[in-house]
Amino acid sequence: MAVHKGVTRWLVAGVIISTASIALTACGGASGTPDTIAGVGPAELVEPTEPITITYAGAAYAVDQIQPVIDAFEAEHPNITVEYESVPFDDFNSVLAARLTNASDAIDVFDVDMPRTDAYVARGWLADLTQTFPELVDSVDPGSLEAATVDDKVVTMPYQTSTNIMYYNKTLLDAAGIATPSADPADRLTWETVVEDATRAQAAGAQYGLIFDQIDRYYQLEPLAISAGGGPGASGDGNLDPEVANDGWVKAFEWYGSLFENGLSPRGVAVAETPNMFAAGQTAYYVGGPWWGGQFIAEAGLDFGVTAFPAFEGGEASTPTGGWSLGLNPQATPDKANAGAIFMKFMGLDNGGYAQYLSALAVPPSNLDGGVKFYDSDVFKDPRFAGVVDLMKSELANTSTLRLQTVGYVEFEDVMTKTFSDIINGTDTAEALKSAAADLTEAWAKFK
Amino acid sequence: MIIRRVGRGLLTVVAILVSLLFLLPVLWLVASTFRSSTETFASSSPLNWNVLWPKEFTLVNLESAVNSGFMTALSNSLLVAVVTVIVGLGISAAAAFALAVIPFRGRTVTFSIVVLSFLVPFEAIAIPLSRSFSDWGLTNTLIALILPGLGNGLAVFTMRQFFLGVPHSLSEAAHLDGANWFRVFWSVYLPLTRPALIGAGLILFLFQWQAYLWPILVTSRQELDLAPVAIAKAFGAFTTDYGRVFAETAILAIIPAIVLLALQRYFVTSVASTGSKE
Amino acid sequence: MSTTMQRAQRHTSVARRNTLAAIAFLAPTAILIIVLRIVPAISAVRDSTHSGLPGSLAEPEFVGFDVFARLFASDSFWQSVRQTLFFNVLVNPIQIFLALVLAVLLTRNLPASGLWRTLIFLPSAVPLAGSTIVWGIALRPDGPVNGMLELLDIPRQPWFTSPDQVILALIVLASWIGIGYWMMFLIAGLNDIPTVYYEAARIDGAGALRTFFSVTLPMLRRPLLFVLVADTVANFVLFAPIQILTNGGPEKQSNLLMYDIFHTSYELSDPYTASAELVVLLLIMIAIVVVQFRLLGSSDGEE
Repeated sequence: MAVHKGVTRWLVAGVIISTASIALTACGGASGTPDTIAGVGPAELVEPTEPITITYAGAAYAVDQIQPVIDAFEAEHPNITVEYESVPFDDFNSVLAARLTNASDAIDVFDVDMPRTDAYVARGWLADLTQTFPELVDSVDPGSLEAATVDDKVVTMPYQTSTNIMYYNKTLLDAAGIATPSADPADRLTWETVVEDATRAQAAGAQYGLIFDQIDRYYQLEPLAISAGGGPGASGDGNLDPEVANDGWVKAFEWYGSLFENGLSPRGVAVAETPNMFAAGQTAYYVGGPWWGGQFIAEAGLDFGVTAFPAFEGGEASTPTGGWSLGLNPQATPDKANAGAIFMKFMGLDNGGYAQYLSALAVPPSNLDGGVKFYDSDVFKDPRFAGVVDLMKSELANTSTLRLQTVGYVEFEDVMTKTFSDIINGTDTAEALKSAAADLTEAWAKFK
Repeated sequence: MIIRRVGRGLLTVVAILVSLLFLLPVLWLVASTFRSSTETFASSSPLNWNVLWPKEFTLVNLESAVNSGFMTALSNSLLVAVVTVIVGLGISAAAAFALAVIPFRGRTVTFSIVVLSFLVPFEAIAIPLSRSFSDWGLTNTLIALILPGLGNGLAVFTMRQFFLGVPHSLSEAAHLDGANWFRVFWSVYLPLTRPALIGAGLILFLFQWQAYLWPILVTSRQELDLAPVAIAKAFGAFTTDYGRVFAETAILAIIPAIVLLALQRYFVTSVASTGSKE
Repeated sequence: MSTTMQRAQRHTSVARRNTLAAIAFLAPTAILIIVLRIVPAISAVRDSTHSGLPGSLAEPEFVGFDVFARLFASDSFWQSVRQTLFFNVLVNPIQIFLALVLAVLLTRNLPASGLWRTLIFLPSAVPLAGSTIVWGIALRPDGPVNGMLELLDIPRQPWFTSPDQVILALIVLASWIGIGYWMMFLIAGLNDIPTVYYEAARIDGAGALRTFFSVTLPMLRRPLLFVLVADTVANFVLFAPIQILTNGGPEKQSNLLMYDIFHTSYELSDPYTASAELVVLLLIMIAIVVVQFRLLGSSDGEE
C-alpha cells in the first residue's frame, strides 16, 4: 500500500511541478533572421550560376506523377535541383506549420489549396509576388487570378483549377424510360427534375438515385446555396459575418438532406468511396469532377454520359471551381527565393506551364495556353464523354464560383463539413445551419 | 469424464466461433485485396456471399502496391520496428528490473515518472518534438524514426508487473552464490518472464508498426517512408486506390500475426514452472 | 556494539551499490522518457498559457489562464468532456471483461489454442486507419452488419450516422481492436499462476467460479493492474477512427477530447487551445490511474 500511496503522491507532485513551470514561462527570444527576403519576392529573376537546391512540398501530386515536370525543369535550368516532397493532403497544413518556421530544413516552394490563401497570408506564410510575376494577369483564367490575389497583391502562382459535371448511367436511365440529357450547357437540368428522374430510376432498379462525389464538402455544395439564392456563406468586412442560416441556405440543404432521407443517396459513405459506387453501375446520377473519367472509362460495361451541373428551378447556375497554387516561403534566402521563383514561373507561366509535361491530366491548368493539352487528352475522346470539353470550357468561363475568400476559411470549411454531415444524417436542417452560424461566430471572433 | 469431454468440446466450439467473429473483417480485407475496388464496393451491400469471396480474382492490387514502392516502405517499417524491439526491450527490461527488484531511494518517484510518461499522448507532443529533432539535425534519419519508440513507459510498466511476481527467494539465492545484479537480471529474471517480454515486445513493435504522424513530421524523403505513410499516399487529391490500400493493409496485418503465432510456444515457460509465486 | 556498526557500514555500502546499479539499469530509459515525453509535455503545459492567431509565425503572447477561461465557458468543451467520460466508462469494463473471459477460455488446454489466440489478436495488428475503413464500410446503414442483423430479424441500425449510436459504434470498433491485444497480457499472467494453487482449490472442493475468485483473480492482480491502466490510457487517447469516420459528429456526440486536441492542433493549427485541452485530459487520466493503483496496487513492491 505504502508504495502506491507514494506513486499517487508523486503523480500529484508532478502535476504541481508542471503547473508551476507555467510561472517560468519566458518568451524564447525572437530568432534573428539574418538573410531572408523578408516577405517580398524577387523583382528580377536571375539564372543562378552556382548549383542550388530548392525544396518543394506538395499535396496535389505523388512523386512519380510530378517527376516528368521536374526533370524537364532541371534540364532547362541545369544549376537548379528541385527536391519534391509529397505530403498526404490531410496532414499538409501541419507539415507546413512545422517546416516553414525552421531555416535548416525549410520548405522553399509549396502547394497552396486556393481557398486557404487568405488564411496563409494572415499567418505570414506567403511572400508577396506582385513584382515577381507581373505577366500573371493575362495568362490565367479569371477564377485562378482572383484566388491568387489578396488585398490587390499577388501572393501565389496559381497552376491548376477545376470544374464539375454530372454523370449519368445510361443503362439505368433507359430502364426507367428517362430521356438521355444533353451535354450542352444551355440544356442544364434543374435539381427538381433530377430528383424526380432519380426516384424513377431507383424504382426501376438503380440502387442509388443521385450521389454527390464530395458528399459533405463545401467545394461541391456551395453551388447549391448560391443557386438557391443563399450566397457563399459569409458577408461583411473580410467575409467574417456568417450567412449560412438564411432562406437560400435552408432551402438548398433541406433539399440536399431529403436525398438521404428518401434513400436516393446512401448515408455513412466516405467521400473517397463514392466514385466506386458509380463505377460499379449502381448509381443513376453522379455529380463529380471530370478527373474520375479515367476510372469510369476503364469499366467497359459502364454506359454513361455527362451533362451540366444542375441548378435549382429559377435559380442562377453555379459550379465549383478552384485548385492549387504555389507559394513562396517569405523567410527563404534571396538565392533560394530566386531559384524558387524561377521554378514557379516554369510551373505556371513558361510555354503554358507544367501541364505539357504530364502524362495524364486530371484537371485543367490555370494557364490558358496550357489548357489546350488538357482538353486534348485521350480520356475526353471516349464516345461516352461526348460534349464534355465544350461543357467544361463554358462552365469555367461563365458559371464557376470560387469558394468563400476569408481569413477564417480553415474554420469555415471545418464547421461546414460537420454541419453537412449532420444534415445528411438527419439533423433538422434549420437547426443545424443555425448552430453552424453560432459556431462560426465563435471561431471567427479571433480574426475580428 | 464424458461431461468433462463434452464441456471441453463445447468450449472449443466457443473458441472457434469467437475467433471467426474477430477474423471476419480481416477476411473481408483479404478478399478485397484480390478483387477490384469497384467490385469491393458493389458487393458490400446488400449482404451476399461475395462480401467475403471475390467474384473475379485479380492480382492488380498487389501489383500496384509493389509498383508504388510499398516494399521499400515495408522494409523500412520492419527495420525500424525490429531495431526498436531489440534495443527497446533491452533497456526497458533493465529499467523494469531496477524498478521491481533493486531496492533504492527514489524508486517510487522514478516509477511515477514512467507512469506519467505513457499518459502523455504522443500525437499531442509530436509537433513541438519534431521541431527539436530538426534543431538537433535529425530530420530524414532512421534514428529520428527509431528514438521515440525506444523510451516506452508501457513496456517498462508491464515488465515491472511481471518481475514483481518472481519470488525474491530466487534472487536472494543467486546473490548468496555471489551473483551481481546483472547476473540476477540476466539468468534469473529474463528466462522466467518470457511471456512478459513478448508482451512488451508487442507494445514496442506495434508502436512503430502503426507509426504515421511522427514519420510525416520528421521525414520528407520517399525512400524513408514507413508503411502506414505509404498507404496514406494512396489517397491522392484526384485518385483513390482503395484496392491498393486494402492489399497493403492486409500485408501489414499478417506479418505480426505470423510472428506471434510462432512465439506461442514460449507462452508456457514462465514463473509458474518454478512452483512458487509471491 | 562494533558488530552493529559494521553491519550499519555494510548496510550503507550495499545501499550505495544498489543505487549505482539502479542508476545503471535505469539510465537509458529514464533519459529517453524525460527528453522525449516529459519535457515536451511540460512545454505543452507552457503553451496552454499562450495564445496567438492559428498557424501564425509571430511569437505567441502570454495570456495566463485566458485560454482555460475560454475553454471552460464553452458548451462544446464540456460536451466533449462528458462524451469522453461516457465512452470510457463503457468501453474499458467491456474490453477488460471480455479480454479476461477469453484469456481464461484460451488457457484451458483447448486444441490449437495458440491459433485461436492469434486470430483474436490479429485485429490489433491491422493499422488503425485500415480497421477504421473496414468498420466504416461494415457498419454502413446498408452494409453487411445490418444485413446480418436483418437475417436475425433485428431492424437495421444507423451506427456511426446517429448521434445516439455513434459511441456504441466506436465501442464496437475499439473492442474489436483492443480485446485480443489485452487478452495476450492476461494470458501471460494466467500462465504465471502455479498449478499447485488450482490443485489446492480442487482438494478443498471449490467450484470453477469460486476457484476463479479465490485463486485466479488475486494471483492475476499485477498483470490486471497493467491491463486496466494501459487499456484506459489507450482508450482515452484514441482518435484516429473519429478523425477518419465521424469528425466528431453526428451533432458533436463523438467529439472526444483527444480527437478535439488533435483536430485543434493539427487541422486548425491552434496549439494553444489544444494544449489547454491536453492539460485537462492529463488531469482526468491521472485521477483515474491513481484510483486504479489504489484499487489493485495493494502491497506491490514492498520489500
